[in-house]
Amino acid sequence: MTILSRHASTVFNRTDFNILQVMDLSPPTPQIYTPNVFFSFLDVLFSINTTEPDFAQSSQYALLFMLSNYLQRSQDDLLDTGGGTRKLRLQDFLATPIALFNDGRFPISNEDVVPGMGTSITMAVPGDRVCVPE
Amino acid sequence: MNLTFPSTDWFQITATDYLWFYFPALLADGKISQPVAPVSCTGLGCEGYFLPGLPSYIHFDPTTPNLTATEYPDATTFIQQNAPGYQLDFSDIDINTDPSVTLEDCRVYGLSFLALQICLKQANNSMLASTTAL
Repeated sequence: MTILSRHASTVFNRTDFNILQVMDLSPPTPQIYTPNVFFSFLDVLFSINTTEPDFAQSSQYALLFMLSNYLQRSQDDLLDTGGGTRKLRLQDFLATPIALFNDGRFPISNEDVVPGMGTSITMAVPGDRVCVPE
Repeated sequence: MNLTFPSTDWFQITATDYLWFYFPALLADGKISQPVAPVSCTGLGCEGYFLPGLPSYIHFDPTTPNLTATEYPDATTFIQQNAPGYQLDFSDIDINTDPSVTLEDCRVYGLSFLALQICLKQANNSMLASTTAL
């Protein structure tokens, strides 16, 4: 997995917020997150407190139980879990901390506007671009 | 990613549930991810995704009027302009050129009867990943 940061303009459906298009992508900048960074997140996500009498009912235990099955199905059966191939599940697992626990969602500072963030949205009516051959 | 986040009380109490809510189909969720042309790999097994951030992450200017359904009723989309996001490129491990993953690259999470081994290794600007159920 290679992690890159880019600026882009993203078109969302106004009703269901599905992404319709990503356009004007800027040149990519590599973002290096070392394995230790990921492990620092995973250490907490899988932290099961076995001194608690009901630890088997904790979210951490349940997540581990689910993941140990979900990531390790013995064959790439596309239908058994609805989750796609094992490779896709691993990709989902790696992508989730990046998508969720970022500075945009959880800013380090309490500033309302994080430097480098976008500052405008536009309401739009989809149209067709007519390409004229040169 | 917000690297200080795992040490916060919020993360330690809530992050596992939060991750679980989004994880199982993050890259297939059209509200979160959009396939794009990869920039750091080529060929079969090379895939790219752009993650612009959820619309709920947008911070609106509190001094401006709310954008309601009656504003610009003909507009069916909105465009988040020039905002940062992550691009994740995935490609298969090349056993001939990528460094070997050893046990030193792995951590085991879980208990004596239920565990998951996750291996992560830095390779230039990329990270190699694999899992094993124990």
